[in-house]
Amino acid sequence: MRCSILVIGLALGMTQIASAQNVERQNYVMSASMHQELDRREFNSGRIEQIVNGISQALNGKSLAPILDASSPQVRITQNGVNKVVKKEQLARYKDLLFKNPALRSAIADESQFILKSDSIGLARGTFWINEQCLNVACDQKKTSIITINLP
Amino acid sequence: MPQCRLRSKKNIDHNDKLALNGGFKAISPSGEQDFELKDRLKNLLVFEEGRVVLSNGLHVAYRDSKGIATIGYGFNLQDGAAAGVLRLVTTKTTADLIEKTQFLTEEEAQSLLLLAENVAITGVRSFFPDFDAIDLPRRVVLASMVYQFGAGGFGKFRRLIPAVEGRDWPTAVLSMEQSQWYKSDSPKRARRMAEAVRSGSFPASAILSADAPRDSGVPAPSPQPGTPDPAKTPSPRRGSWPFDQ
Repeated sequence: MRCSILVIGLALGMTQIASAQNVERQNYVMSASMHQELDRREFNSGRIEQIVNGISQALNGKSLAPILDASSPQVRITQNGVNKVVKKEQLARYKDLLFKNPALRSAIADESQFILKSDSIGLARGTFWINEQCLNVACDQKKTSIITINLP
Repeated sequence: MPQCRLRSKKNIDHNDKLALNGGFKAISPSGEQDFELKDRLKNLLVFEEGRVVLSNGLHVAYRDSKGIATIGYGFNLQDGAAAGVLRLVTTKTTADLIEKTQFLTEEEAQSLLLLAENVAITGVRSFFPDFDAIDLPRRVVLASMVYQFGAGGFGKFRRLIPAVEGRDWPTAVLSMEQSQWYKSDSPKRARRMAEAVRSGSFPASAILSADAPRDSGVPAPSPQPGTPDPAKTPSPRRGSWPFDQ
């Protein structure tokens, strides 16, 4: 009896570990070379990684909250070649275009689809743009946020 | 964020058009020195402008952070002059590239960058007739600014231009630091450029390709009668690119 409980306990433990690993697999872990490229451009690579994970989780969990958390108060939206600036609270109206797109889900954390520019980083070949702004003259305080979504 | 200087109509001015009409011809009085300038500027621009390619290595159009259709090394496909510039390097049209029914080869993307680079160098020379007398690191920075803003945009740096003419580098840096470019548009890039002007050393990304000749500081000799002027013909040498493999 004691042995059975032990076996069941072990099995449960293994299941939990496997589940944790699956969640882990969904997380984006920045490669060393990408870290290096972002460092060369003086980006906060830890914060970029966090935002990529947030977008990835939003697209997988179909919840806009992580995207809203990482967005600047106003976001530029491009749809069918036309672009406008909207308040981030208005992003909800575009969520179907973002969430019903399996290709975007897999592209968002694909580093080969990152575009590294002087002051911003494009994800999924420019669908999302993350920008880093200096908050003071010395630029030792920065704010990193999603500034643009070019809808797929 | 400002990007490749071929971005907007207002950025293409008379000098730009002259350089475009010249195609790939180098319009420099000093061929060898120009090679190092162009090589370092190219490496800086590749670093600052970024790119994205498909798994087969072809450049695919994307929309930048302002929603502008872009391809290669920051080439603006929506610019009024884009179609004409594109025709100089490929038969592919801006519409097909934007629709992603066509893509650019690495060679085509590089050619577009080199064209825009020539335009920028011609543009910066129009501001500083003694451009070649300025030290090379600062020449690279000034040319990169004309690349980013176009000659028209660069002309708006009203205090920078006389400061450069007078080799008053502290004032030149101050004028850069007080610009919108430095404060909000491209603060990281602007800081890197301002630091190079302050120190007189190259921005870290403006490396010299391994196979490029160094600037000896000696003016290039005049061409012999009957031989082609190297300053007026495309250079047969091609420095290596960061993505060459």
